Amino acid sequence: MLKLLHTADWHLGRRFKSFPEDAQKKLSRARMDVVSRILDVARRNAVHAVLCVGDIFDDPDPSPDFWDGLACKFQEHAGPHAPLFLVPGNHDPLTPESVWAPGHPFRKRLPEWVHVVDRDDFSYPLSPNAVLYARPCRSKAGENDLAMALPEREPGDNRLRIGCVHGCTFDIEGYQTSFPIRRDAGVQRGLDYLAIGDTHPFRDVTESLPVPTVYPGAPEPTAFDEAGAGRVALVALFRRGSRPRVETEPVAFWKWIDVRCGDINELRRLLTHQSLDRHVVRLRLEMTVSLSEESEVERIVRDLQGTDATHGRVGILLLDKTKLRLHSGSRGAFPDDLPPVLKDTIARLDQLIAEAGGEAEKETAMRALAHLYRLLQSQNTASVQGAALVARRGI
Amino acid sequence: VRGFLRTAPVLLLTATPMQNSLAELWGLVQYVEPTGTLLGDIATFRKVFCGEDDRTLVPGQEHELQRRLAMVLQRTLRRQAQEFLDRPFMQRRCRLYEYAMSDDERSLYDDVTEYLLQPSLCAFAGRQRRLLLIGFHRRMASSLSALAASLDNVAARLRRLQAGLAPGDTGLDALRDLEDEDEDEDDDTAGSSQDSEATIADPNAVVSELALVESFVARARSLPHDAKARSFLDAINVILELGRDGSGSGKAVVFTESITTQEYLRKLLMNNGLSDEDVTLFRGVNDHPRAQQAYARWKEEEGGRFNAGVRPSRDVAVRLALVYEFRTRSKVLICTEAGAKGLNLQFCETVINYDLPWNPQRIEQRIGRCHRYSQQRDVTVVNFIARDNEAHRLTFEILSQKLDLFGKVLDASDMVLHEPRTDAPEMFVSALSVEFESDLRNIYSRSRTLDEVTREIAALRDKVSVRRDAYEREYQRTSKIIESRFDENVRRVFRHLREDLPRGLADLDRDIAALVGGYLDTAQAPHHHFSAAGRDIFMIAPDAALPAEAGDCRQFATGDARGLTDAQALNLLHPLVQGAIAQARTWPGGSVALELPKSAPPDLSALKGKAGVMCVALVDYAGFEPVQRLVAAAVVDGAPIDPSIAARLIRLTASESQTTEGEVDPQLIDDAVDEAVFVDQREVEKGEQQHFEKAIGQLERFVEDKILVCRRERNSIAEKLVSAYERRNEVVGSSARERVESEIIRLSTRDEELQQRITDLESREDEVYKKWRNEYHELRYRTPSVNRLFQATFRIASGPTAPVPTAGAPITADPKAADPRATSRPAPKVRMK
Repeated sequence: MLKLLHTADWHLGRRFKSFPEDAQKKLSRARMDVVSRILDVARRNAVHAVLCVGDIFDDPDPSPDFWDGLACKFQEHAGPHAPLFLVPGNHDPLTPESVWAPGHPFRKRLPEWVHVVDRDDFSYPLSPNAVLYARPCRSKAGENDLAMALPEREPGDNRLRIGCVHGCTFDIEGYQTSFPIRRDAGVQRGLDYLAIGDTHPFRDVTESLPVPTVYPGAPEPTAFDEAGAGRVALVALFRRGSRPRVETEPVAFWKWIDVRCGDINELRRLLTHQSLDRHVVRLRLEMTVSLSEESEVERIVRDLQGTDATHGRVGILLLDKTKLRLHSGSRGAFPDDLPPVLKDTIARLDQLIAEAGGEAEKETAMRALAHLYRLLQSQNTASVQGAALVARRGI
Repeated sequence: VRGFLRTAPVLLLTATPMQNSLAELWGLVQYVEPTGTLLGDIATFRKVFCGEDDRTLVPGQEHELQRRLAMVLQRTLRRQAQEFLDRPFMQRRCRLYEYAMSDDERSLYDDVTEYLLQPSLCAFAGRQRRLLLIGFHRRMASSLSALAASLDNVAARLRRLQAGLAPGDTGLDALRDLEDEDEDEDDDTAGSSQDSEATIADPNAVVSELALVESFVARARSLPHDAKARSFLDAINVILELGRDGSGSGKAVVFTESITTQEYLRKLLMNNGLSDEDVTLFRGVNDHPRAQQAYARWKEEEGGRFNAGVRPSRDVAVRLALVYEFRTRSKVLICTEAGAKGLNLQFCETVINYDLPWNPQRIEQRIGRCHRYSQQRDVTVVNFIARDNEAHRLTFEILSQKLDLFGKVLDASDMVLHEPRTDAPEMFVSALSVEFESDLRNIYSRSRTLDEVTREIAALRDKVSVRRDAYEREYQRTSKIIESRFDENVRRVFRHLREDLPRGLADLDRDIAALVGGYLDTAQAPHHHFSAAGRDIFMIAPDAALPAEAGDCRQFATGDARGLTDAQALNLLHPLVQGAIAQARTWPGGSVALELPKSAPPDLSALKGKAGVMCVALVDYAGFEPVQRLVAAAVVDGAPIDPSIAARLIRLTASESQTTEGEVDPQLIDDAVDEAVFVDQREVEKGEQQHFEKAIGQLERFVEDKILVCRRERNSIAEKLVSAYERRNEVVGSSARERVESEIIRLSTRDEELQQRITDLESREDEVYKKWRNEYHELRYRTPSVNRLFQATFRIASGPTAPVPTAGAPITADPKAADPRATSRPAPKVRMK
């Protein structure tokens, strides 16, 4: 039996600019840490080869932190190691300036069990009965089918033949069409398994065909729309003619989820989720709330996000409040037994909101009302009355 | 301790996971989480979670602490378990007997109390004073008899002083009447120095004090049975009546602190209709004749139940004998404090506190003798209160109403005096017990009049009330930290115990029966195998050769060992089963015929009549939960079959066959085994991955705690720096300016250190983190080892060729009449599991 670990799309060096600085560091570190896990999985499963099929780096010439970091991960990892193959993808194509170029210091730092696919006719005997064929991307976009460029099976060749290219099988509508791969390319080229990389969720695009063609997905997700990412594929090939078994194993540190809350109850339910500390959550608040609910929203968000003194419930929170709206007016949010000066202020603010000439004026009055409400909640009557007086002067 | 605990799984049980401080919780967690990374070191824990002190939690950290604790701590409330218990927890209630002292009793009580409260007494001089006085107060509350005996000792002590001699140890002798180990706290004060202080007492004072004490003794002895004793007899009569009409056990366990009172009560009961046998005494040293008699009887009637290796020591045996005596013969067990711990008296539902210790925990322990799991009746606690003794009434009020020690309190006529706020008094008792006792001691040792005592106890009542309210508030808040399992989760666990577990055990029994049956067949041991009452029973011929460890027994049965009288229970540790396993392990493989059951599923039926090779391998998975699994592989018609079919194939009944099949390519068998292991490994990975994720998540938080602490300190430094810069602009004079400058430098240096530390931590440059991370990776990703156990060629028969009884199949012949030799099957069989 031949066992392979198939992975792709590490995207080392990717920047997550929409996240706060702390979160960016966490995401970058996880991206590098997952390499150790992948090597661990390979060792535990005693695989015969590790195939890293493209987009290892997010850029063909990443900063030294990343290529040096990767070389360190390889060097530090305790063996035994099966041969590991790095295949340039469309994000990190093989060019003379790229990290894959023979003269690049990265190449010198790689241990001998790490191989770079830096030739179009790359092949490697994995055992007397198995051979690997691979072909690198040489540009960021291309129209040639690299899988179909792999050599055909010669008559009388009974070895297990593994193909390894980066590209797209055209099975997702609207997805990029660079480096197309025929879905039956594995069959056409007489392969027993075709290892590909590009899209980030795990997918076996050839379940009905005898030759599996599999996207292992990104081992550490890179975005919120990558359900099924965070894994590597373990492939067991038994003999020619029998379909290999393909299993996945989770390796990601972060789970990315997109949460849209349409009302306060949905937001409250988020608090009952027991473990979000390993989640990257994009929280979209698309709701209109009362003054009292707005305070609660702030409290829940603080709970989720954490403060300087407390841990947040969510590992990394990306908050989108652009669609969070306040109901206009006080709407009975204030108690009845307020001092006259406060009652009067609230009434005048309500009137201002109702009769506002423009949205900006209305918004200002609503914020004033919200501010007054928050002060009242803090139960400091003196400052509330002071604020009310200030508000009245403003009015 | 951590090093030791890491070698074994630890289950820590507690009813009070937290009393006053979050640090206690931290301490408990260290026992079950030996890496120390769940809550960090105590300093970091305090900074991350504790507010102003260890009792308060940093606002906003509740969920975080709760989440972490939930990883190692599960709380099940009594309420949640109640509906699933075969014997639910019973309620407790208190029946209060109030009695009125006679005028003579009352005046004696007042006079002696007044005497004891005097600031300088010849009899209680020196450093023993406090101890002796408190002992006296307690004995006064016990019985007149105990009081008289103690006063006698005081008189003897004074007489020695009068004669110019050292007072001797008569004072401490008086204390020995109280079997109360806590009194030892002051024992080291006993000795010549105190005695010498006592010997220099004023002779005239000694004479007058002696006269006073002797008058007390005379008055105590002249009194008939006291009012409390009469109430006690009333209570005993009610209990005996309940026993007679079948609504109670008719038994009571009586507690007193005083040995004198114990003896007094025994005589009181005997003088009021109970026989010698009706009353059993239990104390620290049980050397009285009744104890000897009980021991002899127990030895004769019960001693045979103990094997040589597990026979209890003489002391333990006497304790067991006295409990046995009470259970089988007596109606009343009178215990000193020695009986408040370690006795299981759940066959009795009445606890009588003839006197009450000042330590509420002791009272809880007393009640706990009867109010414990497997008690089948509500437990009644009987207490006595002197109607006109305000100090005693207040003390009882604190115990019953502030500490809820006794459950619902009823008076003798069933009027409800107090409804408890809680059904778990042990929580408050354990939190407030020590303080309460110490306060009571202080009151009695420093007060100078009875009114003062009463006033002080009233103040204590208010203090306990405030403490309890504060405790309850704190408890309510902090109990949220320890998440109670949801009712549905608890139900799921209990349902599992009730439903799934028996099914699993039945499967195990079936496998054991098949294994033993195969073993006996192979060993050609004449036996009869049949099913009865849900068990597989093996009757083996007397001269059959069995493993030596199995002994002379020749009847064995699967299933629950309880209820088996004339057969040994077969379980995985039984010598016969062990022998069968050992023998099976030696099977080198060979040729077998497999019998396909008529109800075989299509994928198995498709193999009917086919031949092949099967192989069984043992896979040893290291990891968070190391596990060994058997995997099966088979090659049929020159191709490996699906491992899931192979796994079912090897569970078919097999008989040894002489037929040898053709050669199979060893590479094919290797492939089949590899594939089976590959598939099996995926199953194991799921659980391991969960453990790994949890462990790594915990480690990450461990480092984030440290970062949080550094950030907080940086924030605080930033504020101090702002203030220092402002001061620098305002200070006048070079030295003052230098001081501010140096403060700014110190703060800035520290800030830089913290910044560097944060950077390091963000890169996970932390030795503890790295150590555990490496260890977890090592645990999670260790390569499993595969050992092939056997390989066999097989042919699948198209159906049973002969009626072969399978394990568990009933045999119609009367098993008792059957001759094992006559029913044993001649053809040796191998059952492979």
